[in-house]
Amino acid sequence: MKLSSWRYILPEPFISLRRNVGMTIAAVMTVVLTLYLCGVFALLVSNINQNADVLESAVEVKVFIEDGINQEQMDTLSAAVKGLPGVASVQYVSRTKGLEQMSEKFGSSEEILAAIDTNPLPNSYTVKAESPEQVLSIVDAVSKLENVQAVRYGQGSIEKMFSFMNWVRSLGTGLMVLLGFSAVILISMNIRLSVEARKEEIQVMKYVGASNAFIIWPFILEGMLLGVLGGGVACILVLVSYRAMLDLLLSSLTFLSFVSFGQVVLPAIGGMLLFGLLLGAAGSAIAVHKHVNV
Amino acid sequence: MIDMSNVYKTYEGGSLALKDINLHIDNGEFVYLTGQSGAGKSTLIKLLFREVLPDSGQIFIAGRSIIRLNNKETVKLRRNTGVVFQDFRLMENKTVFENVAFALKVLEYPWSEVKEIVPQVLQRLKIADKADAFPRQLSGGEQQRVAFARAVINNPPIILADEPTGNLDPDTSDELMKLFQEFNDEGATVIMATHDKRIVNETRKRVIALRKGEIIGDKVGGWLL
Repeated sequence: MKLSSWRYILPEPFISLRRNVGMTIAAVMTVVLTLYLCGVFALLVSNINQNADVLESAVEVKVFIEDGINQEQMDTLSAAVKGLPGVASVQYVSRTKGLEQMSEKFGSSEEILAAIDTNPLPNSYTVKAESPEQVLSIVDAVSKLENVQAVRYGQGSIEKMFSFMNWVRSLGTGLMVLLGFSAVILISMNIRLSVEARKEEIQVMKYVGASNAFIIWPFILEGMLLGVLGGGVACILVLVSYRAMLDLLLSSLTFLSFVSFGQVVLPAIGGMLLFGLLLGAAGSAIAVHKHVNV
Repeated sequence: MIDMSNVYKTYEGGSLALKDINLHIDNGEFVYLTGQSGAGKSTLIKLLFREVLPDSGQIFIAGRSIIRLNNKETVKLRRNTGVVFQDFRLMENKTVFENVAFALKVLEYPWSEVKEIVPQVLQRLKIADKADAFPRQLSGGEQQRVAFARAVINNPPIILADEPTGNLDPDTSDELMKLFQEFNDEGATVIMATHDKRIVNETRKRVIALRKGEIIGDKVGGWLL
């Protein structure tokens, strides 16, 4: 197609979208909804990923010490634990301190504490690993040491977190596919309407010898325009809500780390406009394929 | 120029539209296709610009078969063929100028040329003063002139017309016929389906008569039914 022909083709989608305002709004809204949810899930997943690292590094091993051992034995044990490969820090927690920590945790239920006459807790070490992968080997080595009563660590919690993340990911992907599908259908219905509205023009185009590209492109562009419009609105909504969420949570959930707003802006704009464009192109391609007999 | 051999065409539902059509039309000829409604005139016209395809047989235009054409070749064929219909087929929401300009836009002429060519053609067909009018504001004759302008704007070597005077009164018909004659004189091959006995008798051209899909007569001059 000649470059100068675009002068004739480019205004067509705008005229057509104005003609079917109702359908246009419906199609754009579906794209907005689809892309908004996609954006929210993408942000959720990337934040979970970010925090996964933080949470993993916080994995601790609790080493409970046998009662009634002397200071010498205690020192030997302490040195042995500190000397294990992969250990980042070792903190001694006396039974009194342990009880304090526990009552902090269950702050309101003082009655329970009152019900316990004697302190049931043994003395213990809180061992932090340099990296999550080393936790298991540390647990292994510590349990073989003398005077160790029991070893506890976050068994299963990492696995649980990962399975939760996977669950969120597949839920997100499923929703995106479903919504994407409905967006494509709505766009193709919209394009079908404008094909109907321009039926006689298409007829005349064929009689006078229009190339297929000349007939098809206005509709493809119209779909893309719908998609990009939807993508743009969704992008603004996602960014505004992320900003608001950050403002709300940054001060209260200080133990979590969030992907910063600045890091999000460009990928969100680029990704959502592109995704909208593709949804639109797919929708109009379907409509043109089905309803324009070229 | 145009050759058809053993062409058969049946529409869905089994009604036979054309049966064993064989004909040759020379470059620059003016040919009437006559016959009653349903004789196959329109189908023959449609075959020539590939609106429909035959069930069997061959159609050659300028030595080339038009049965197996890809999209590009079909487009080229239609660019070399101007078509005029009984019901004009103008776009109601476009002005006269826009209707005619549309054909050039579709053929991807630059706008600067479109602006130049369209007024010239409207002038020649004596509808320049109606350039800004919409089709519904025009008489039948004027509408057909606009349709004619759209068909001939890029000087196609073949002009096909399906009952172009069917909706026009005798005087307006004669005016339109003069236009066909003019373009024929300039070298265009004109093939016109009509059952307007008066026009056919007055102009003494080659007449191909059809009945129930078959050619029942082919000779110069006179009404053959």
